[in-house]
Amino acid sequence: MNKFFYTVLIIILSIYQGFSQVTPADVQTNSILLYGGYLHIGNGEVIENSAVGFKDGKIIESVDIEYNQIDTSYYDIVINVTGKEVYPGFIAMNSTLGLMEIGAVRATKDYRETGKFNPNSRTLTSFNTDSRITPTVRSNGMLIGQISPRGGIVSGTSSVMRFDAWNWEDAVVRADEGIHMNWPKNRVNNNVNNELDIEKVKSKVKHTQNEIHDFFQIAKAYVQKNSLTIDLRMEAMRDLFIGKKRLYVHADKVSQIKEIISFKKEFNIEKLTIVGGKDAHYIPELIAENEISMIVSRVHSLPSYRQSELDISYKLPSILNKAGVLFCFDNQGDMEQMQSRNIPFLAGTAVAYGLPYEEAIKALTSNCAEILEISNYGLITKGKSATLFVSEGDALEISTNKISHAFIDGRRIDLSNSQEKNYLKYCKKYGLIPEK
Amino acid sequence: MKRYLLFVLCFFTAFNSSAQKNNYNPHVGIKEKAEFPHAFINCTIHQNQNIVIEDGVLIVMGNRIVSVSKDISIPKDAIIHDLKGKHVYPSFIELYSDLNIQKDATKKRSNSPQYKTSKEGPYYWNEAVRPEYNSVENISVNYEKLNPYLKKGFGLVVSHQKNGIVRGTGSLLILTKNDKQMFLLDKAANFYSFDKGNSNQAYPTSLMGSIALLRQFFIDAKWYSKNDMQNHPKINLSLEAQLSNKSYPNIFILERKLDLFRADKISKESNIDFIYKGSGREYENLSEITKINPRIIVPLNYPKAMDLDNPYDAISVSTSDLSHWKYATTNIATLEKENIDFSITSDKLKARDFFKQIKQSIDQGASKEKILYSLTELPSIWLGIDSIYGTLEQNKFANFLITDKEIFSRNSKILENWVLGKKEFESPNTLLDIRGDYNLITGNKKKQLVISGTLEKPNAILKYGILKDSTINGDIVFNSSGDIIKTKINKTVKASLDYEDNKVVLSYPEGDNFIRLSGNIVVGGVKLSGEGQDKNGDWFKWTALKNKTTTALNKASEKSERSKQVFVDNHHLDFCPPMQPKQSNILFKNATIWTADELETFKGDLWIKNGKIVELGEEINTQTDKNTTVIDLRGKHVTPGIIDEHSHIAIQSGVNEGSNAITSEVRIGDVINPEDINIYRQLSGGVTAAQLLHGSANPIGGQSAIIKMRWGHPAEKMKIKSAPGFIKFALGENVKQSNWGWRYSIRYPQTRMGVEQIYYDAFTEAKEYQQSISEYNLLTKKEKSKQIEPKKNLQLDALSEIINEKRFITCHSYVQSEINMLMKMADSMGFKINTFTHILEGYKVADKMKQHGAGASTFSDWWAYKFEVRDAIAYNACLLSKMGVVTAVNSDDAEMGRRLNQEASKAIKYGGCSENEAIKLVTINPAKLLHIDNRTGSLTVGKDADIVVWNNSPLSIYSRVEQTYVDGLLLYDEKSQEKLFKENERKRSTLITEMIQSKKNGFPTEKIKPQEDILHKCNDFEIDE
Repeated sequence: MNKFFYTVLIIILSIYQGFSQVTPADVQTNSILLYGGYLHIGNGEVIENSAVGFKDGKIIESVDIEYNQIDTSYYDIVINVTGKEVYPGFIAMNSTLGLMEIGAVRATKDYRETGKFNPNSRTLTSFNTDSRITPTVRSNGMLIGQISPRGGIVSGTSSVMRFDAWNWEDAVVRADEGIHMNWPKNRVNNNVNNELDIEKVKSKVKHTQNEIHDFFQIAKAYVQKNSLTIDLRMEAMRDLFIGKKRLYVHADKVSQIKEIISFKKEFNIEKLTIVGGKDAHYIPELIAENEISMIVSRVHSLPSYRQSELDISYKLPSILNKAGVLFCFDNQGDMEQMQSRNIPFLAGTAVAYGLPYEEAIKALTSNCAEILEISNYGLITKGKSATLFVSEGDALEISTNKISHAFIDGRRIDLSNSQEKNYLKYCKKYGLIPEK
Repeated sequence: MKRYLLFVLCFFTAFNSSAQKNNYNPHVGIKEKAEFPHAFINCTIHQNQNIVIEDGVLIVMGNRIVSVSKDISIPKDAIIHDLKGKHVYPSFIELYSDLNIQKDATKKRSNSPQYKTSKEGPYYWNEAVRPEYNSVENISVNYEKLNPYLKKGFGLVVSHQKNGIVRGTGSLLILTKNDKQMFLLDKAANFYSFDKGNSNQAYPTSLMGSIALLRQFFIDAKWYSKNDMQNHPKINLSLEAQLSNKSYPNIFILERKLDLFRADKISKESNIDFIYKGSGREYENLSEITKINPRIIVPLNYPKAMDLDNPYDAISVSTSDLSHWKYATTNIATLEKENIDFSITSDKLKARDFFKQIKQSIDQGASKEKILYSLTELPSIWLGIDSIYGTLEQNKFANFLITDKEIFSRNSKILENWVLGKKEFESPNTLLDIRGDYNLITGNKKKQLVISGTLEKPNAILKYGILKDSTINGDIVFNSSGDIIKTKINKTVKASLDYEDNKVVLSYPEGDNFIRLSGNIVVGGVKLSGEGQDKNGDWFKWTALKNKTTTALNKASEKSERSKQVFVDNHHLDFCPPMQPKQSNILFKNATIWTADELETFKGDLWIKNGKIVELGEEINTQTDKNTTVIDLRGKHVTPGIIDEHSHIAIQSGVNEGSNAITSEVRIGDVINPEDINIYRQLSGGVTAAQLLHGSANPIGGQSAIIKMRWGHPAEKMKIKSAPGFIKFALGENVKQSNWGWRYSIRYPQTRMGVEQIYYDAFTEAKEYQQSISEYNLLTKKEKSKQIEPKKNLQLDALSEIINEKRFITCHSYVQSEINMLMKMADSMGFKINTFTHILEGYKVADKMKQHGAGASTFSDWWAYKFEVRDAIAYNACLLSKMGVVTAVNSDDAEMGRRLNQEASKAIKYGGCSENEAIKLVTINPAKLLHIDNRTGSLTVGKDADIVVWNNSPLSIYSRVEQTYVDGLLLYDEKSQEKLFKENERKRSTLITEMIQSKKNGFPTEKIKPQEDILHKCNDFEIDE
């Protein structure tokens, strides 16, 4: 058998040092077969001994080698991945990767436009394909992402981007796929616990709710007629009412979620996803009943209240899963750009607290694709985009998440990054043998 | 004290004579010269809390009491006040007030932070410290403002300026409107607090800064006093004032309940005995407070029930606030039971509420006698005026109250408040409650009169039936005899009601008429009667009799708002059982034991006894020890307790003293909050010890506290006693204020160049300081007397400790240049940098760090949040470790702190560390860095039993902590946590139900107070990033 196989040693590590960016991969010209891996299809199923073949960026077979004859000679390159695990490319939801380089340097921030209502701000054209952060994220298996705006009431429009491209046009998977908004919340600092301030906050919240209501009413009226004068903001809202765009509403508290549910009904918004949902564990059935999907923000976070169950944030995915809510993960919060590389481990923690493993994989892959409506992605089945990766071991386990190969639309991407380069540089200085 | 008494006596005599004879105020009109004694007879006189004279006589002449007795002859010229059935009490003394003090103006904030005092002249260097301030010089009297106090029963008020840390003196005001000498004492007490008030000077920004400032101030004052004028060429007015006011009582105003313990530490250090104005939550930490046995002024502003009808609103209310609602009223009874001296302040309370709250306290078991004592005699003893005030005795000042019944009984009322023998307050005539249903009879007509609304402003309606022609479809209906059938219909009209004293005026329309009734309230409001006049001008008589069966009054006041309670220990905390677990001897059998020492990892047994690890081995036999419990841990893993080298949890009111560049005098140890839920959360992640660090706002920050997570214990018990002192240093962007916004660009240093220089400057000064002290100590006694003793300086003390290697540095650092710089600076000063924390470019200078002997405590993979971390690599920990640098992985984050095991496993992913190396990153290595490896950090015989039991490999993402032991005490147990959670929910829901019930019973409510915890990172300053 061995003569049919040849293992390709891929030199991923660039020889040159310094901070030049990794080079985007070429279009797939050679057909590739990943042979012998433990395959996580992304739909909840696995194939313990699999063969995954892809050509011209598309998966042409994804089968069990126990029951199927594989014609390895058909492929230009056969990679033996026996003992390794194969996953669909993980999808970073609600991410600002590529919209910020350095947190403390204002000049590098491009995710928050000024003003309250900015549905027409698009993340798409600001997406920096040359970010130094992105290579450190994709080398952990995150291969595409929903790049989302922040701030204001209606923050703007998100797009789905691939994490290996020469420019944003190359990077687009799905342009302008959803609108993000922040639901107002009673935010009271515990330093100001006198009644007056609480009342002030409450009336401010009410005011914001009215503003949202007015804005959506105008938007709804606007899209009914063909106006001669064009309002950019209203134009951006158009697709929302005909089900072509999804509304992502960022909210954590029960009262907010309930308000959002009635808001969804009032404006007949077909596609709505709640982002955050920290307190959703109180009302998972209600969320499921109303066909609202969820992006669970940062599983690694503290409970909302002192008296909360200590591990409620870790358990939330499992609770939603049991209730039948379609959900996925993000890592929104402090340092969220660099933290994108830890998204697989959020899923890992969710598994430790009751989420079935393959459900966790779904939440990183096909669930995201379903919400984002990028049906080509998220599954390793015939006909889908060859966006997948091979890990030395379990990709949700930190110590075994070691990505040896990753492909985006069949293009084998460079897995090096500036951190690794610095590592190699100093290993050399100290005479240490680098470990991969 | 002597001097003080003398002063009081002088005042007393002066007062007495001038008030009566030497009235030098020019008169307008005819002078009133005659003075008569007042005799109050037939009253129950409460001389003090114990002595009560029934049917007594009180005789007052001028401003003093002439006699108090049962049988005395009443002077013939006396004005007689017959007080049959009434009670007389000494009037109260309020200690916490700013009555009639001109408020300090809010100071305008300048564009840049103000690092120096804006007060010109020879005063203390900090604006919040102003012992030279005297309330008496800033008085702005408005008689109107006396009324609320008089109404509450006070005769004397100590008033001070509620502004600043050292607030100067307050004065004792007599609540008189008739005398031009209204001060009893111009200086009654010195006041202190931890609140800097309106000072715009940057320092202090934190509670620990306030504490340090106050400590240094007391040291300065003491030093100043030691040097007489000969040695003392220079005068500072603040310190002079502090010294000359030394003999007055010292009152310390506290905001947070735990501040009591902080102030007590200062009291012991400075030898100043304080009276504390407390928080009202003393009952929550009673056992600690009894150890201090303080004198406390307690507030009575008990919380109202929150409006919790919406269950999702109730989620956001903290257990502590729920519990406080229920137990607040037990505070006074508890203090009384423990024999703690307390006085009471009526701060923030109106008269009605003040007495209501006192009654609630009595319902909870406080005695009336003690409350009277706490409002009268005790404060006068504290103020040193008990020879002339506080009780009703001969020759004391005539400050007394007349009440309709026993003063602390239900619905009692202060009828009169006499101050210095003059009636300063008289309650308006008691309003009779005329609300109810009446049968109003005017002439031959009978109507129903309903009076409702509030007691003060009732309104009236009249209801009566009239007969009207019956109609069907507009046609009048006749009966068989041809008469019109009449139907009775009910009519309601509004009447206008005026009501004053015992007079009542009622008018209402009747047909075309307008009837006006005027009359009196008789028989205590049961009957109204009088005359009325109709449209024609004819007079008639009327009466209205109250219908006894319908008294639709609010019955809420009859019920008690809270039933009698006994506070259960730790009831205000979540997941803190009232009983602490006991140390037990345990044999853990068949576990995978990660020792984090030479034994590495093996399968076997571990025995703990009396809080220590006594044996490790493949099989241990403990049959000889009957007290040992055996726990089979087949398939489980055991590790040493995790140690977080860099944490900011459990710190109260500011993690940064973010003002000056050097603040080595501040101590995290002063502001530990042992009730922070994050302590328990850390336990659930297997963390047993941590260094609580000051933030990174300045090159030399504050001193850290090294604690064990002894959940349920007071702050001092959390500290690891044997741990040496540590201090936080910081380099780079934070200390040069790069990301603080445009306002912050004047503090030195603004560059890395300046950062280096500020260290050289600080340590050069510290060395000179040490030198001057040792030189002074070598002098003979005679020589010493001729020289000024070097002043103790808390900041330089800390720096000296560093030089003498008694205190170790944990330095926040990022780029290689500054890391290298600091090591060279330390070398030149003769000490070592113990730990570089964050140290994200440590890998670039690992060889130099190894050579210097510095350790590293780093993030597993953080980067990209600042410019200076652009070269951070996740391989850092492993690479440093491989280079032989003692390396730890830390959290700097309350959430990540409980997943440090996961973070350690990143060293395997990035750089290929072994599992044993990885587990050491969060156990023995941080223990070494903190110099506590002699007692914790590894599973080694003889060390503390700080142990974690895991369901899986501790380095796996799938592992959960099943048990955490600290010193052999099981402080977290996954299984009992489920039970604890349910119990806690039940406790909350009981409290919530009681609040809702209280609302239903008609008691007032307040809006909900949501909890929102502030979490600290070391980057936290005034600006968010």
